[in-house]
Amino acid sequence: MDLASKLEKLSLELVQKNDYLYKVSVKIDQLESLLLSFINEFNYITLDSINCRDDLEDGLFTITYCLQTEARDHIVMVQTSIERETASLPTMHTIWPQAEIMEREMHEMFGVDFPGHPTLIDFALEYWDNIPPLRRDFDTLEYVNSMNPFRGQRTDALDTKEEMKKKREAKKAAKLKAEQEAAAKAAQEEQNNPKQEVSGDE
Amino acid sequence: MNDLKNTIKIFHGPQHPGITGNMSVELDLLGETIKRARVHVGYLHRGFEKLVERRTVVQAFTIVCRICVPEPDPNEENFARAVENLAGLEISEKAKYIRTMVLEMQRLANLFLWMGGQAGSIGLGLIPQWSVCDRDYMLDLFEELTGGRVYHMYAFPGGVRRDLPDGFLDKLSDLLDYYEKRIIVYNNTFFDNVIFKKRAIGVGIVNRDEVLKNAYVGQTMRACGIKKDVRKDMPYLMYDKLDFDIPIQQDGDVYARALVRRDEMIQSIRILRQIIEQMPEEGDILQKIQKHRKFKLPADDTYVQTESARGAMSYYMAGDGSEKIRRMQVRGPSLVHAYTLLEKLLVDSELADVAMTMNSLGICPPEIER
Amino acid sequence: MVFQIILLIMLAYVVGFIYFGLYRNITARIQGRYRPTVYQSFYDSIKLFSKKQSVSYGWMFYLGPIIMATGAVLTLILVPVFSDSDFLRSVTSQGNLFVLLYLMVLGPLGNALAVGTGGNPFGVMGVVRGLTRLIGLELPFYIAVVGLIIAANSSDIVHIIDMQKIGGLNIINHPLLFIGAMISMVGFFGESPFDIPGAPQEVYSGPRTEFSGKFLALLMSQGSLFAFAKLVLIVDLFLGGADSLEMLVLKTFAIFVSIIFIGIVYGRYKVEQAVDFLMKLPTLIAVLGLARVVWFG
Repeated sequence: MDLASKLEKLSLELVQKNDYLYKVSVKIDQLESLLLSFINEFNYITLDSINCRDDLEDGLFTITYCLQTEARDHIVMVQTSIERETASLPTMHTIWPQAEIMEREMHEMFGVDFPGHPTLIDFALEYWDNIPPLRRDFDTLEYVNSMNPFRGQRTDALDTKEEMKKKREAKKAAKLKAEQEAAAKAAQEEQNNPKQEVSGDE
Repeated sequence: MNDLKNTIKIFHGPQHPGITGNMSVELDLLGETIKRARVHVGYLHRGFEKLVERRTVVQAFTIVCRICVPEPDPNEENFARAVENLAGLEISEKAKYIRTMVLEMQRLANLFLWMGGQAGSIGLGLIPQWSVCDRDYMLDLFEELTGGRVYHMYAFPGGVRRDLPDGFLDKLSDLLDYYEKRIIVYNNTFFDNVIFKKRAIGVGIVNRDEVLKNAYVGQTMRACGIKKDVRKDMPYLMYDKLDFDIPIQQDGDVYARALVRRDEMIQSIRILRQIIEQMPEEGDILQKIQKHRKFKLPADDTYVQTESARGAMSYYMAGDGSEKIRRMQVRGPSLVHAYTLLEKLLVDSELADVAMTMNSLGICPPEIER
Repeated sequence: MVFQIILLIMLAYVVGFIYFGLYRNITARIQGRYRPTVYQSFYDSIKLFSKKQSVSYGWMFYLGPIIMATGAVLTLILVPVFSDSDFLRSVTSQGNLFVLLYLMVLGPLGNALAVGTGGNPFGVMGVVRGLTRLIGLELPFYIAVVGLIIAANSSDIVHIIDMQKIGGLNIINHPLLFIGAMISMVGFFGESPFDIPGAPQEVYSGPRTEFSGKFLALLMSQGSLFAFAKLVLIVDLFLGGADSLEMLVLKTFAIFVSIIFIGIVYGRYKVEQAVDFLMKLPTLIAVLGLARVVWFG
């Protein structure tokens, strides 16, 4: 049976996004069996990436597993949602070895737990003691301001907005003055040499 | 572990002439044989995925090209195509041809850079000097087209940012003639070099059965005899109308990957010549989108894939109805190659092969840790 | 005599560094980039001599460059430079080929002794590779030298030069021995494909990792002194010696250029591949030359 009818049997809907891309949303308890059936029955044997999106307003993480066929011509996005507070997913590293590093990164950046994973240690950040940084409630601007004391200004520092305002007004005044002078000069010229009527056609 | 008893531990990197970029490989050595290898990244983490979340599409487009240092264009292309998929934009045929041309030009430039790195890793100092000089001619053409030599910021959602300058296609054609003569010289000096063959044949053999399942991409896959390429299997831009081959080899070692890359250079030149002939004269360069904060992305997500010079690079992008990008996740080819493949390949190999294997797999640390 | 020794060291220093500058120029020309001046090595050496060593590992660590310099200077004064004159004849008559062969390996051994106390694993790995490579390099060279000694019936270099003036150059009479010796010489000069100890992409420049300042300058200088001594040795053994400064410069430069032309276009072997190669083809060539000398005179 083909993909859409098999998924209808499990009461899941297959959305086709373009020529190569499909998407299906599933609940967390059906995730592993659906992934295995994708591998065994429909030849989507490659795990290309595991993506995570933080939906802070709904209190959920939306996890997407992107699988690709052996012939490399179709991709399916298997999407599921998990709670933010107790985020935990079944580990896939026994099925796909590349899932080990992807899950390690997701653990560091989002705080998702993978019970049974062999190396849940840091990936790119060393001695990180704050909340996982890619969560949306981690404010990078506030973190940078709190970690780095800004140096004071130079003693001859000027306020940019004030200076630009002064410059614009000076430019406007100079332009006005130039116009007035040009008008005065033109009036002077006309007074000295009255304009001569040029006869057009004979 | 008993076999780690008498080993010494050295760090190959992060500041070492024998690594491609800025990462370190922690090696446990018994004599000169490696017993265990562990990869450490983190020296180049710039936090792109978090930076993009505070930015609109126009603001994010300027920083996306900096994610991967040797190859900025597949990043721009992925970003542009993901936004076009989400927002439903169509681009004109001329813009498609120009974007294909830019992708193939940077593929040539990156393959010259790879050749320099691979030859340098075995001590042949002559080839890096030549190949970096030849790559420089291509960077001059990029400067004329886009304004920047390495980071272009050229492929925007909706098309490209400016038109081709006058006489550009003739200059590109002359450069391709020059490159065809140079590839013969490189063949004689490097690919037929006795020392390179002696060092590269039989080293770093990748097991063919696990290539497709473990998502090893690019030349690692093609050197094992698997004829797959994103440009042929899921074609994008103009690739379904252009005529080119996918070179493969059967052995799966460092030498086979080098031969695949050499043949890909020849195929790139072939594609570029077809583009020069078929480039349309007239056409819209950029489809106008709303300005800056008014251009809102729908609450949807998408996944795009592009073939870079090292393998298939994918982007996951999600919008949320506002003008900012909700999530952009980058999956470069090097993440799996560095962790899953390299740590396995280096066990029971020698210290002298570490630099050569890393160059051959095309490991680029900036895109592992963005 | 002391004055003559100092004069010889200065001559070797100047000629060796000019050759090194020419090497850098020729390499830059082939690689298509800008060249340094010919006197660049002098500037580098003078600058390094005026700097301090930045870290200290005790007196044993500093013995390495000193032992290598000792080997270089001794080799230099024991090789007869000008064949027809009495320049340093009292010294060179004391040494013969066997002494010189021992002195040529004094350098790597002394370095191995010293670098190990530094504690840097890269240095230790570099010297171990150097010693392993020496096993392969010595074999063809020693067989060629033995062949020459048998052909000339003496191990005195002056005698070998005199025999060449009568019977013809050794490069024409014993070409196989020359080829075997030259392949070894590529390695003794530190050129690819045998420049294994100080491989930057593998062991982070090997034995030289921890040296800086005066000791690095000493390493560089002894390298060029030693190079000059080895060139003069080859010229004496195979090209009939030199009787004037012009002929000396011409002949040594010819040998030097042919060696570096090989080195520029080849990569680097691994250690066991190098020893494997050296024990097969060059040794075979040298043994054939030796057999020809023994059975056909």
